This record gives sequence, C-alpha cells and structure tokens, in this order.
Amino acid sequence: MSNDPLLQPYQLKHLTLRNRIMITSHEPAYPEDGMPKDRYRAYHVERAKAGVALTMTAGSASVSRDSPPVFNNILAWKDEVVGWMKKLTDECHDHGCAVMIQLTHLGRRTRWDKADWLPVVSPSHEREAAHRSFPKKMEDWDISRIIGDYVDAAERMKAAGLDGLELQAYGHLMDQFWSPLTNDLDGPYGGSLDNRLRFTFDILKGIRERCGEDFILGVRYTGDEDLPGGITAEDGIAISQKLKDSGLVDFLNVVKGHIDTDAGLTDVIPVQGMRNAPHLEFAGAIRKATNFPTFHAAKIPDVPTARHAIAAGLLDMVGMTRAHMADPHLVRKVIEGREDDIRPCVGANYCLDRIYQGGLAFCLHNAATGREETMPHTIPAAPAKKRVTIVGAGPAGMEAARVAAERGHAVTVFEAADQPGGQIRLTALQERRREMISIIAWRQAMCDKHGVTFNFNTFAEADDVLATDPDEVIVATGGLPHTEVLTQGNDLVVSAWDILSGDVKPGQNVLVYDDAGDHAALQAADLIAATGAKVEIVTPDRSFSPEVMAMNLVPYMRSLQKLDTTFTVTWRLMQVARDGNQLRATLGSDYGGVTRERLVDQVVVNHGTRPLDELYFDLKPLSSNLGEVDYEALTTGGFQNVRKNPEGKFRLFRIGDAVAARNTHAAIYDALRLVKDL
Amino acid sequence: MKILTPIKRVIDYNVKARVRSNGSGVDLANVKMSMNPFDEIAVEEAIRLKEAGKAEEVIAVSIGVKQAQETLRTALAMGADRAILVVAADDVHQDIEPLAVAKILAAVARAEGAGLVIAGKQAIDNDMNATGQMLAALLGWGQATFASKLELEGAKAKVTREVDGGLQTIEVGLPAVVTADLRLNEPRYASLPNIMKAKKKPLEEKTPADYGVEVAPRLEVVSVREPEGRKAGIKVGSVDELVGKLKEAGVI
Repeated sequence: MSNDPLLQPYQLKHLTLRNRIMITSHEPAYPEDGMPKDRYRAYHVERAKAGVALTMTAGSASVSRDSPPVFNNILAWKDEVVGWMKKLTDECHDHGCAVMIQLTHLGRRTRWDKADWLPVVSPSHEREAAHRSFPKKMEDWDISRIIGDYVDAAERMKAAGLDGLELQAYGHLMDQFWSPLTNDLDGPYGGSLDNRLRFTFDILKGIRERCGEDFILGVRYTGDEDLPGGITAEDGIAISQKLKDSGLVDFLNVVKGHIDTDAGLTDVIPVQGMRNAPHLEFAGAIRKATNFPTFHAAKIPDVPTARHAIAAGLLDMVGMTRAHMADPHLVRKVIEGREDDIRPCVGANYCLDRIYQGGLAFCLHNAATGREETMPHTIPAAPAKKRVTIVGAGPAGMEAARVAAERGHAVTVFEAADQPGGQIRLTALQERRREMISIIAWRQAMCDKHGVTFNFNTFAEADDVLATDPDEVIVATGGLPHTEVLTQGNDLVVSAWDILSGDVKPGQNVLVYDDAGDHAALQAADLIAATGAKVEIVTPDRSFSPEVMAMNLVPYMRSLQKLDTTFTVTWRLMQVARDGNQLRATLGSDYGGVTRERLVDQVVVNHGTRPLDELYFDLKPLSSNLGEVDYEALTTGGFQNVRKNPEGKFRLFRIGDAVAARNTHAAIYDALRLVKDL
Repeated sequence: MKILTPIKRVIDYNVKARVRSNGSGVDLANVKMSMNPFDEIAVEEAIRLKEAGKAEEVIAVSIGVKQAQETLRTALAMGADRAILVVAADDVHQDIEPLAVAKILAAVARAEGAGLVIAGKQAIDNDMNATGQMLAALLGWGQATFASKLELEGAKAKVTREVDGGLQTIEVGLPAVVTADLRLNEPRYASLPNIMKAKKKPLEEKTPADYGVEVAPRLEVVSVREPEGRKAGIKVGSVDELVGKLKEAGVI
C-alpha cells in the first residue's frame, strides 16, 4: 500500500472514495439535446478508468425550464436524463469511480432569449454584467416552484444510480439569495442571513426527504464574495457552520470570489500567469473552522501542490479538473510512479474560454480530450516501423514527433532554431505566457524517452530530408508574420513578432494595428506600454482581441488599463507615410466615408502568419501522394492511401501554420489525427 | 574595430550527462548540443557593442567538429556578421585542449586584425577556465576575466568583475581579451526571420593546419566516473532516534 497522501482512500459517510483526487463539476458543453450522450460519457469514463476517485459531472445541470443553458448544460429537469446519467454512472462505477452531479438554477446568470423565452428570475432586479439580463424579481410561486424542481432533479439523479450531488451556490440563484447584493426580498427568504439561507435549506430538506440518507449531498459555494457589501469571509464561515450543523449535507466544496464579471470569474478560476492554488489556504481555513469534509479546486495543476493540500490537512478531496482535461490518466501516472510523464495543464484556459463563447471545451494541447470516441489518449503501436522525418519543432512538429515515436517509428526532426518550440517559444518569452513552454517541454521529454533524433540549428532543405531516406515526411515549418496589408508604406511597419523577439526596440508613441485578434498584439502592446510609451491598439473589428477570449483577456486588461493604453475599434489602417522623423498613419473604416490620421513614431502590425512552405513545394513532386491528404480518411480515422506519383519514395504531409495561420490547438490536432494512423 | 567571439559546442545544459560505457568521457552521441552559455553571453555583448556603434564587425569562431557549424549559425542568427569554423576533430568525443584552441584563436585574431576578443569565462563541459587567459598570454594582450560589465572608452576597456565580497573595476588597454561572466547580459532570442537571414551569412571553413597549429592532446584522461548514486535512507520514528542515528553516523 502506497504511503502517498494522495492515494489514501477517503471515507465519506457510507461512500469509500479510492483516493483523494477528484474532478470537480464543470461543463465541457458536450451534451446533445441537453443530454449527456456518448461523447459526454466517453469523456468521463476515460478518466474513471485511469483512477480518479470521484467525477462530479455537469457544470450547472439545470433544474428548471427558466434556467436555460448558457453553455450547453445538461437539462436535469427532463426525465430522459435518467437513462443517460445511469449509463454514464454505471460505466464509471465499473471502473471504481464514484459519480455525482452538480445541480443548479442559474437565476439571473443566463438569458431570456433562449429555449422557452421565459423571464430570467432572481431575488432582486440587479442585473448580472456577464449575461446582461434584467431579471424578474421572484414571487412566492417562483420560489416554491423552483424548490420543487431541485428536489425532482435530485430524485432523477438518485434514480440514475449516482452516489450523490452538490448544489451550486456561487453566482447562481442559490447564492443570489445569500448575498445582500442580489437579494431585495422581504422575509421569509430575504433580510437576515438565516432568511437568505432558507431557500437553500428548504431545498436540502426536500432532497433529503426524497432521496434518503444513503445519498451524498454537498454544496459548492462561495465562502467570500470579495465584493463590497457581498458575502464576507466571516459570513462564509458562518454559512459553512450552518451547513454542517443542519445535518443535511455531507461535504463542503469551497470557492472564493464572485463570477458576475469576466474579471471576477478569472479570479475564481485563475488562468496562466496568475498564482497557482490562490484559494487553497482559504479552503483550508474553512475545513479547520468546521472540521467537516472539505473539497476544493482552483488552479491546482500539479501533483506536488495537490499532495501538499492533502498532507497539510487543508482539504479532504483535491480537485484537479483542468489538470484532468490535459491528462485524463493523471492518477494512473501517480500510482505508477510516473509523475514526470503527466501532460501538464498550462493554464491556457482554452477549455473554459471556448465554452463561454458557445463552443465545446477542448484542451489547448491535448486534442484527444472531448474526442475520446475518435482520438487516442494512449497512442497504439504501428503495425510496421517506418522512418518518419519531421521538419519544424513547433507545437505541430513536436506533437507529430511524439505520436510517431510512441507508435514505434524511427523519427528524425529538423529544427532551424537551437531549441524546440517555434511560436510557443516566442509567446512564452513573456512572463504571463511562460507556462506555455510546458507544451513543448513535455513533448521533448516524451520524444527523448522514445529516442527521437533532433537536428537543431538546421534549416532543412529538400536534400537534408531526402538524406534521411524517409517513408513519411511531415512539414511543420510554421509561418512568418505577414504585415503587408497597407496600400502604401508596408516597408515602414514592423510586426508584433519583431517587438516580442526583441528584434525591434519599442517606440515612444506607438500604434498597434491588430486584425488577427490573437495574443501577439496584446503581448506586444503590453511590452511597449511597459517601457512608458504611449500605445493605441486599433482594430477594424467590432471588439478587440476576439481570439484571446474573455478570461485570457483579464490579465492583459489589468496591465494595459493601468498603462493607459487606448483601444480603438472599427478603424482600419490604410496607409503609413513618413512625416519628418515621424510616421503618419491613415485610418479608414469598413463602414465607409471617414478617415482619421495619427502621428506616431512606430507602427506595429499583427496580421497573422503566411506559411513557410518552400520546402513543402520542393518536396511535393518527389512524393508518392503529391502532398494530397484524404480528408475522408483523416476525419474518420482511416489510413491515408493517396497514390498519385508511382516514382515517389515517400509520402508528404503538411500540418499546422505551414498550411495556414491558425492556433496551437489546430496545430496539435492536425498532428495527432494524421500521425496516429501513419 | 573587429570583435572576435570564440564559441564552443557543448552538451546542452538541460541534458542529463551520462558517462560512456568505456569510461573515456561523457556520452555525446545523439545528445542535444548547444552553444556554451557563457559564449552566448559573449556573443550578445559583442553584438551590443556593434549596435552601439563601438565595433564594425563581429566574427564568431568555433574550433571542433564539423557539426559546430550549427552552433555558429546560432551566433549568426543572434547577429554576428560572419563565422569561421576550424575543423579540428572528426569524433564528437574528441575535445580540443585549451592551449591548442588558444593558439588557433591567436592566429585568427592576428589574421583578422581583431581589436577585442570576448570569450566565455569557461565552457560548461570541462570547466577548464583557461582558454581566455592563455589566448591573452599568446597574443601579449591585456586580459579582463569574469566580466559582469564592459564599457569601451577610447582605447581602453573598463571592466567590472564580480569578486568575493563585491565588485572590482579594472581598466585594460585595447586590444584585449575579455571573458564573460553570467551576469554580463541576457542573451537575446534568435528570431525566425533572423535565423533565415543567418543562412546567407558567410561561414568559412578552416583547419588547424591553416594556422600551423598541432591539436594532438597533451593530457591523458585516466578515467571518468559518474557521481555515486544516492543511497537509500531510513525512516526514523522520533527525534531521539534521529539524534541517535546521527551520532552513530558520526555527523554530530
């Protein structure tokens, strides 16, 4: 028996959890028609198989019709959910993993123009900034109706064989009752703390009566809203104590902060560049004050921190949720003493930022997450060993090298720089994005383990590739910044990369023109503004930095607003001309009929990259497939079988930005889905 | 003024070094090799001097195996103007000793008419810390080793050195040999556009014979061993037991 604190079983009432690591509730937005179908089940089962003790399904499964999903949540108010949840639960149970679900009513944290177009409800008229709905202030029949909905939904989960559930109370209806900021009701559900908690206890009592004692109940709640006039840390302790004393709940799942704004949400669930485990001590203080089973998650990406949380008695169960998006086999690797093999969560938050934009949660650098039905988390061995030559050691090339090597191929990589990383290395130069380099470091370690041959400082030409006598050639050469977007003065501008790499020193009065909308522009602006320079970011889009997305934007805004950066939307940079020792920039508008001028000393353009594809086109006529990809096979998991040139001795493929400017996830997905079948 | 920056291709500092099975040295076959980090600092300093208008040309020189041209490409991508590779060995495991390296560098410095040599203070593979000093002696130039700051003023170089308990500032007349310490600067990132430009920069290949230098080793490596592995520990049950064990081991 291991003496690792993380691997000790935990007895929660009648339920034995096999270790101390859990996946906390989160909605990857995989439901179909509001139901957790095959894709959803495969995602949880993959993690259950690999040893996690408890998976808490569903972020915010909806208990009522007037809580329409904001990011494709499970509809727990429908009876048909029972069958789907039972299937998921049974399969996870077969692998020894406990299953619970989070139930909620979103209250004002949703929109009225969805599903049944019912008014959004809350205990006050206060609007939530993030979802913009002006709520209906709840009446008595709203309250009793929703209490009943919670109890009915809980009964469905009990019927589906789940081990228990938790109620969501941070930013949703339940804590909208708790917080003086969002509860304007008069008694019995408004006023004193006990009145404000009445809604919660009515629900807990109802569920307990309906579901019995052998069903685990908990609350995931904010113990401190961190807002003037909101729930304070003292209130949080009092609420925790009352939850315990009620005898109705079996565990506390602690959160700190508020989620009604992007910035608040990001402090609750920090992204890369922000502190790790910022609320762990807070959760520990609640455990200490209550001496009651306490769970918690918030940027605990690494096993040593998780182990500390358990060993130091701060938590009973530690949530490693985004860590499990990056590596579903995390627990298995801990058990097998292979912690170094864990694919690290880099806090890029691609998963969460995507769901808030209505997309599915994907891991920036694990393309198999959420695609368990078609993409492997463990790479199967190839039927025959081949020589695979890869050009470029950016994210695409490194993923291709890792997957090819794990398949058992003999892999050679050429890289022009003296280190792997490509654009990841460039972005990781900035402190805020430093964690990104783990995307490369992990792959480098995996490649080293499997004996990949690297040739650094080698700008490979066709002859270098041919000299390796390859069976398969993968061109992952990335691209170079493209800045020629002006009618005049293209020679007078520099690229965001020039600024980030240090090739060009920042000016004093700088216009950053960004129509790519990705991290590079904000990184360059931040670097320039930090020198004390005046910076204006101009974009033709309706909003700036659309590809950075809401939570990732928060740390940039905190920096750029302090540095007095100006953001100008809906203006397009048309031309730049010299004016003495200055530059005169002319702005136009897609709406037409207007121009503006700016006198600056530097113009930075961020317009993505153009492929570096010379090598690809040199090799193309020599290849057997002439570079062609069978998209049908690629997307359905078949083998590539294009033969166009009988003289060709190797097959040629091109992935990542060497094809067209996209992002890290696209580069890695390109590589995984191609190479897994090579 | 021309600045010469000698660079050495060494095992990458991130690589876990392993001794060859025959005990002759560290295994370098199929291992990531990089520019000696102190040399990278030296190259950076030379490029900064050029950017500041204090030098006209930066020449990177490496002496070793043919593969060292990859390392020279890094220096060119950082901003060196041209490179010279003196191919002095076929086998990656054959190390050229500091005296032979210094003799070749002295010949290169004379042939190029260099006004300043900036070298790394030592290479992280053998830690000899000898080449810069030998080179200064062979050239009859002044030397300023372990530089943490370098300022050129007319025909003189003002060099700040980190010494025990503080900083020492010395002045040497030019031409001189300066060796770079860790805190002299932070080397720049070689960007892809600059890597591409570096492809077109001249890289000249020479041999020790071109400079009339004999590189046969004068030293004999008797044996190379890995440090002994850590021995398994024991768990003690109490502070008293710990103290007892420590006394037993004779450490307190």
